[in-house]
Formats: sequence, C-alpha cells, structure tokens
Amino acid sequence: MGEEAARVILADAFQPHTFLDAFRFIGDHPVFLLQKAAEQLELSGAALGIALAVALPLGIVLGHFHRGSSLAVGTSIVGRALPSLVLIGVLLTVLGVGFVNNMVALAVLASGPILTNAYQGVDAVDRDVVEAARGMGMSHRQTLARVELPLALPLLFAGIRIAAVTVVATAPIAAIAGGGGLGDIIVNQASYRLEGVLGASICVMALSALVFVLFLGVQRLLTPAGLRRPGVELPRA
Amino acid sequence: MSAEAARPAGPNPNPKPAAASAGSARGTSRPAARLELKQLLKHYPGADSPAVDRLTLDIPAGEICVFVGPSGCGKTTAMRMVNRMIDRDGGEILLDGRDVNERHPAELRREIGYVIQQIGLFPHRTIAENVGTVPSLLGWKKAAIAERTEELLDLVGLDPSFASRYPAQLSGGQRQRVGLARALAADPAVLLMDEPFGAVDPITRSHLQQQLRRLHREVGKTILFVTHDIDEAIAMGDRIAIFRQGGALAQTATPDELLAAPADEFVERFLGEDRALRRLSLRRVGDIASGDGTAPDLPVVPASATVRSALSLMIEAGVDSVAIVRDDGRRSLLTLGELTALLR
Amino acid sequence: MILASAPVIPSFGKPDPCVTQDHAFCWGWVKAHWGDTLQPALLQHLQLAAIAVGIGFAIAFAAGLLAHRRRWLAHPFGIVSALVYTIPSLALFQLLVPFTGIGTATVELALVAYTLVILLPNILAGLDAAGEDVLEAARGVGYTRRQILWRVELPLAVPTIVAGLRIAVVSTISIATIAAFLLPKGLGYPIFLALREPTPFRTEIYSAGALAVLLALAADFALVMLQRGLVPWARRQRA
Repeated sequence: MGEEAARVILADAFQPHTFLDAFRFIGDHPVFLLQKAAEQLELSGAALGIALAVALPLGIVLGHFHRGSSLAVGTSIVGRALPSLVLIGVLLTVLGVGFVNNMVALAVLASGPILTNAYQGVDAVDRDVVEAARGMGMSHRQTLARVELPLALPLLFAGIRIAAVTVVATAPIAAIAGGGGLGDIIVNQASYRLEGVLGASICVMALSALVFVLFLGVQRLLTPAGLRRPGVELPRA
Repeated sequence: MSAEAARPAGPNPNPKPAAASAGSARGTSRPAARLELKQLLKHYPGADSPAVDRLTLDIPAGEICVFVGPSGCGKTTAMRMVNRMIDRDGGEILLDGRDVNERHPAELRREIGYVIQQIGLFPHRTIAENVGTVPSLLGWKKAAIAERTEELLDLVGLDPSFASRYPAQLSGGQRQRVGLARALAADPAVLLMDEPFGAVDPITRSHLQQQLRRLHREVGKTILFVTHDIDEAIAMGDRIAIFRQGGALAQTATPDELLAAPADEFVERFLGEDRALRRLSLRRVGDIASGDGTAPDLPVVPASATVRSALSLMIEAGVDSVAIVRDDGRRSLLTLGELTALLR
Repeated sequence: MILASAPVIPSFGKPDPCVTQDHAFCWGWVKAHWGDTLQPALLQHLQLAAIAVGIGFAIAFAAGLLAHRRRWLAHPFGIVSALVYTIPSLALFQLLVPFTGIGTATVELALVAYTLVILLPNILAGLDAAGEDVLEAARGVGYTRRQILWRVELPLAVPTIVAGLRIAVVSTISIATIAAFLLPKGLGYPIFLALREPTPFRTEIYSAGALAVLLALAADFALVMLQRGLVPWARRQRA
C-alpha cells in the first residue's frame, strides 16, 4: 500500500499532451468538480472564520497596547516553519480524521498571518498621529476605531488575504486526512488517473488565484485614499 | 577678510594629487582654486523659465562665497553644476582655468569636497571609513588614510574614539562634523556646502558656523556655501551672492556692503529690518576704538566683542562711551558718535 | 494493525510492544529507525531545500540587479511573483509532471519558483534601501555607478536580502514536505506514509514533523547569526 501511495510505479507516459486530457476531464465532469470545489471552499471558509474570530481581535488589541511583540513575531516564525502537512498530521492524531480536524488545522494555519499583520498594522501606526488623537480627547476605543484601524487596514487586510489564499491552497493537502474537496482527486490517482489529478490541480490553482484576486480587490477598496499606492505586495505563507 | 583668509600654507608648486597629499591637514598641500562661473545656464525641460539664468561670478581662491535666496531661486542648482551633479545647459564653469566638463564626473568630484544638509553618511561604514572614503578611492595607503582620518577628526573637533563608531550612534551635530571631515579628506581645492547646518539646532548651528570659519582660516579652501538663511550668509560669507527667483543674481557684495547699500527693494526686503544693527555685529570693537579709554567708571568691553554688543551695553548703562580692553591690557575708548559714523 | 507500513516492522521480527500497542510516542522506534528512515529523510530534505534556495538565490540576484537598473521591469516581476506564489504547492508539483516527469527535477523546479518569487522582491527592496541623501553623497564623493552599487547599495541591501532569505529558506523547508506526494524523499515522506495507515502511526508523524520544524528553525537561526556578522552597523546602533 505504501508503494502504491508513493505513485512512483505510476510513472508511465507523461507527456505535455496530458494537459489536453486534463482539460477534457474538466469539461467532462464540471458538476463533480464544482461540487468538490464547493466542499473545499466550505472547509476553507469555516477555517478562515474561526481564525478571524480568534486571531484578529487578539492582534488588534495587542497592537493597540504595543504588547506581545514576541508573541506576534514568534507566531509568524513558527507559523512559517511548521509545514502544513505536519500540522495536519499532528492534529489528525489528536482529533481523528474528518472535517473538524481539517478545519482546526487550517484555522491554526490562517491565524499566523492574521495575528501578525493585525498586530504589526496597529502597532506601526505613527505614534504622533495616535498622540494627536488622544490629545483631541479620543478614548482608547475611539482612537482604535477612528485612527488606528483605518490606518492599519491595508496591512491588516493583507494578512487576511494571505491567510485566505494559504487556506484555500493548503486545503487539498487535508484530503489525505479525509478533508474532502479537490484534494480528494489529487491524492487518488489510482481512481482518477493522471488527467483527473492534473484537472483537479488546475482547478485548485484557479480557485487560489480567484481568492487572491478577490481579496486583493477588496483590499484596494478598503484602503483609505490617502494611503493608496500602486503595486502588489507579496503574500507570505 | 578674504585676503587674510587665503591659504596660510602658500601655493604648493607641485600639486600632485593622491599619495602626495597624504600629508598634513594643517600644511595644505593643494592650493585653493579659483572658481569662475560664466553665463551659466540651466533650463529644466518643461519649465517656463530657466532655473539658473546666465549666472556670471568669479570666486577668487580661498574665498567663502555664499549663495543665498528664497527657495526655488536656483542657488542649489547653480552649485550642483560645479561638481556636475547636474549637467549645465550653457555657459562655462572653470576650476583654476579648466572647464569642469573636460573632466570625468567621478574624478572631478573626488577633488571637490561636497557637504549636504542630510549629510548622507554611509550607515554601513564606521566614522573612520566614512572619512577615508575619497582617499581610499584615490588609492592611498592604509596607514596614510588612518593618519589623515585621525587628523581630520581632530580638525573638526571630534574625539578620536569616534573613529570606530557607526553614524547611527552620533548626534546630528557630530554627524555634520563627520560630513565636513569626509569632504575635506582628500584635501580638495574647493568645498561645496549645500545648507550644511540646516538640520541642526540653533546652538549647534552657530557653533558649527564659528568652527567652519576658524577651520577656513586654517586650511584656506575656496568654499561655495548655499543657504536660505540670510543671517547665516552674513555670518559665513566673505562675499554674498543674493539670488532672486528665476536663477538670476540680484546683488553680489561683501556682507557689510550689502547691509549698507542693498541694490534694490528685493534685496532690502530679503535682508529684513535692523540692517544697521546687523552691520554693527560684523565689526569688532577692537578694530575701531581709538580714543583714550583710561577714564574710570566706564563700562568695560573686551576688544573681541562686536560693536553691536558695545552699543547694547551703552544703552543699558545709559552712557555714550565704553572702555575697550585689549588682550594685553591696553585700553581705548569707543563713543556713540564713532559708532554712528561707522554706519555712514 | 500497524504491520501495513514497511518501516514500522522492526527487522529483527520481534515487535516493539510500544509500537504494537500504539502508544503516543515510542523512543525505541525512533532509535531503531533513525538510521534507515529519519536520517536519510532529513538529509534528503536538506538537500532538496539547499539546492532550491541556492539556484533560486542566484537567479533572483541576477534578476534583481537587472531590474534595479531597468526600473520598468520591477512591476511586472512583482505581479508575476505574487501570482506564482498563489499557486498551491501540491498543484504546482502535479502540473509540472507532464513536462519534467516524476522526479527530483520537478520538485526542485517548483521549489526554485517559490524561492525566486520570495527573494526577488526582497532583493529589489533591499537595493532601494539606500536613502537619497546617501546616494547623493556617494555621487558627490566621486563613486562611479558600479562603485555605488557594490560599495553602497549592496551592503545596505544585506539586511533586507537576508530577511528575504530567511523567509525563503523556512518556506522551502516547509513546502519540501509536500514533495512526498510526488517522490519518496524528504521528511514529508514518512509522514505521508504514516497518514495513509488505517490508524496513523503517531511516532513517525511526530518525529519526522519535529525534525522538519527543527530543521527550519535551525536554518533560520543560522541566517540570523549570519546577518549579525554581515551587518555590524545595525547591531551597534544603540551602543
């Protein structure tokens, strides 16, 4: 079984023309692929929702009080050093196979960039501006809502975008732990053959690109006019 | 003033650059150079009027010439054409009779000291390495660079312990001194200074101004100094060139001439009020007092004080004369009459 | 139960009770299989990552110098980088198979692509790190363009480039675990095999996972130390 999983033995005719077969596969099974994509989005959305609910307020509050920089930095370093496969594997041994395990694993993955960027975004707001806001009689809450958050928004939302793309891109790996979605096809070449694997890969790629572009567009819209700059900053995983 | 300031060491008949000039900072080996600007023109593409409009100016060797004027008057542009940081559109710039455009820009710049407001110290290099930049570009030996660096730090009033520090560890005033030392490192014939003291606090600024004047008396460089501050211009300049908008000269004169006889309304307004008092602060009482100052009860003023401070003392004490005491103890008398005669 | 996976069966035929009873973590297994499973996987992993970062850095450095001279290249480079980075690693590995087959080359190609898109923006940003005043002064003292690049801009770019290198190295080590979906190589492979068991073999997942994380952290630490050595001016900022 291990050998089969390694798929080395399936190294038969690999030619660029298999791409045509891959697209044919997509054309032949649109409903199936859409269904799988929807599964993947459902999983990703749930994971992102949990991460947002936990990491976003935490990062914002820590940033406002300029506390816990080591936590934010540590999260980003460990978050990057911890391979998603390892994270999924470890959680699987704790929570068992299934939707919840994958959701939690992906939520942990998404929390890193959200927490780090929210912290850095609020923390890095010009102290003079905050000082001026306090000087005009704004409370902590008002300062946060009217000054710090609008100024932190680009960085904060960049973190959410990176998290969203990371989650959607990593979700197929979760298929190995029964996560469902397009990954089911990719890890099961025995059933779907190479054109199925490639077709699903193309769909995964398109899905990530779609999420990336969508979030980038929202980020542009949310950025205050005075802060807009051309160019795309690089997502970090 | 300029005659007295011109190089104490005298011209070196053999001004070989590079290794030869690894000598002393005090005994200048490269003579100060004469700088001539002739019909200098700069017209930026798309601009309605020239930034510098047929500027003609002859700066004798060893003089401190200050370019002053409102922002956007072209004074900095004019200066930057000298070391070819900006290419000119017309006219000539002669350095000791030779057109700067005949020279390779990088080579030319190694012979011209350049100090800017933001200083631009290299943050990744120690103070010693910053100061030794041009000597090392010119291929001096390590020992010669080290010796020269130490000498220069001393010259600009920095402790030798600064040598191994990095720019980020220095205060604004200290960094500006390092910038000056770096500019002087390879014994340039001309020093260009663009608002060099614009970013430091007033006390440090006046300290640096005095130090630069003293340093100029010691090393006798030709200095082209750009500022928008007329007080700084009066304090620093042997001669002041006032620019008006559009890069044309409004007047060129010594500080005293300028304050005594502004050429037109623009210059008058630029100089501001209390011109008479400012003229008084250009003079030292020791240079003018002549009468017998041995009478008792007179307020006493040291010979090095300005005429302005003597006047202030007279008003404060309600008298019309003060005693001037020289370093050797001789006393003379300065009267209000002499003082007003001075302004005529 | 556990007998399905080849490496789990001790070669001497007398099963370790810890393994057969499926304890959370079996030191005995780690010791017994360090030589035939974990160590080779660790070395393969290191090799995969090192080659990818090496090649990626060389290409990124050359492209960075080019784009630094020709400004208009920077923007398209940035967009392509951001797009490539959104391609999920699992999908990229698969999509390269029709071109390069199943093999190390495919994995390296994908890893190099990720390294490149992380490093290039950092190298470009680093080369822009020298302030206007510093560049003005550099021209003013008589540096030529080439001298400004090598003696001023590049030294000042080191912190940003090393920061990019840290991200690239750690990400590459992380992504290299996914190579196991394609190749029986690297620390991802034992995890991949263990996960495919009906009951995942925990010791294998934990030990290989810990090695992957430790490898990444060690590489990161090594780069921090390298940076301290290369950037003395920043370290002594507040001495």
